[in-house]
Amino acid sequence: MGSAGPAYIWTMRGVFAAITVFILLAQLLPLETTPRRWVAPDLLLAFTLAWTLRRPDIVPVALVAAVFLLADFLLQRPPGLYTALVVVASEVARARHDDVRETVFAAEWFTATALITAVFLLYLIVTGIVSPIPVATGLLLMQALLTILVYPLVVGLSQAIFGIKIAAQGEVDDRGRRL
Amino acid sequence: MAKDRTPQIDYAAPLRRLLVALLVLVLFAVFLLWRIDSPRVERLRAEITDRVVPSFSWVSAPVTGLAHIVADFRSYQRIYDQNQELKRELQQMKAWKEAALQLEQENARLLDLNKVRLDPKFTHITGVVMADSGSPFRQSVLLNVGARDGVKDGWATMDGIGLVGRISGVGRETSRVILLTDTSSRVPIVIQPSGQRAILAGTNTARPLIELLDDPDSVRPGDRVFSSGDGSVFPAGILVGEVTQSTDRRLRLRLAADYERLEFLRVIRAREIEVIEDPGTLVTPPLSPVGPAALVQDQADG
Repeated sequence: MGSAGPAYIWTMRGVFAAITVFILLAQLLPLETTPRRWVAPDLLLAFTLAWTLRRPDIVPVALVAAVFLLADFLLQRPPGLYTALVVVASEVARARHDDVRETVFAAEWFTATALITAVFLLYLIVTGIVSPIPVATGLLLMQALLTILVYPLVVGLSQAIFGIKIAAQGEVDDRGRRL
Repeated sequence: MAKDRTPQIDYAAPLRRLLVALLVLVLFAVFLLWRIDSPRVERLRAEITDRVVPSFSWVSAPVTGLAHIVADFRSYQRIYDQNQELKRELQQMKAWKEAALQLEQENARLLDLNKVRLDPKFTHITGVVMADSGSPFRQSVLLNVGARDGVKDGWATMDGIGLVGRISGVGRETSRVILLTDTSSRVPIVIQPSGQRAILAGTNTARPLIELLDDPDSVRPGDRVFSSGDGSVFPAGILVGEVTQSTDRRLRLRLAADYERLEFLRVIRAREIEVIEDPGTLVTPPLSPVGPAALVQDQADG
């Protein structure tokens, strides 16, 4: 089966890592040095959730933790907090994988929405309590909303370009285990 | 649906859950550590940035260059208007240049009369902007000069015209500049000509707020703002910008530095500021060591 062998899985893990590096790089380009009134959606989170909901075998939890911890450090977030929340969210998404393939896309989007909202709200609450500098609540909420809105786009892109499809019912990997 | 999985997976699942729980705990521990011992973790952050970002430069340099070319190309479309505008400005500038030359000569004469010696240590290092903060919540840029070039935390940075921010976080090859627009930025300023002292507080908007002003009535929009050197944070006298009033009638600052295009920044080497710790023994006569004892004896005698 072409989409389940270890070679395919490791290639797609590499692709995932490459996508995250590309997103980080694009954010770090010194093009915007004035304060903005708008924010870009958190593509990193959208990609991670989309891929874990659809193909959890491609996105191991260690990769998620490594990518987001690096992002925390580079983007000057409090290190560890956002990563921990995303790891928990990706684990929930992993557990929901079985439900996703039995339902329509709207249900998957709803799950993603719930997870994104939870991550952003918890992040907002915790940083609001402990952060020494005021938190830009409006911008964070706008980012959460945009991330939710961009989710179907990310899913479409993943499916069209990288072939990340939900494994069909009864599809098995090389060793005959269920996907 | 655990029942139709192979026994191997059933065995691995609890172990995996344990490891994930451990991972999340470790991540929260990192966050707690940052909250408790922020300077050390921030140094780690500078170290990581120092390792990772320069390796991006081979791709970020051409992309940034391309973006600037596109921006320049857009400006070509308005080239006739710009030409006319520049000609007009040039006429004005010629008049100003004449005035400036005369003032410079006068200034030199006055400095000579006053025997003023300007500090020779007031020098700078120029760095190139490699990356921005990458996040809409923080305003900072990363320079390609670091501890290797002698950059230290707390030094002021400016572009050709005005103050841009201060160094916060130095790696070996990179250093981070917290811009004046960042929410954590606080800089002591002095407003001329009234001489009022205040604090410039970043608010994550293009116009930082002027806070802790003694007498707001004596400050008018258009007044020029300089760094004051209070609290020995910055060298004094660097141009910061001019006062404006926002629609909510709060005093804000229009920055002199061109934040649209931060490419080359000057890092000002901070002078070692001498601290006066002596309580003024020269003015009061020294107390004799037997003073209190003699007093006690006097009272005993009386």
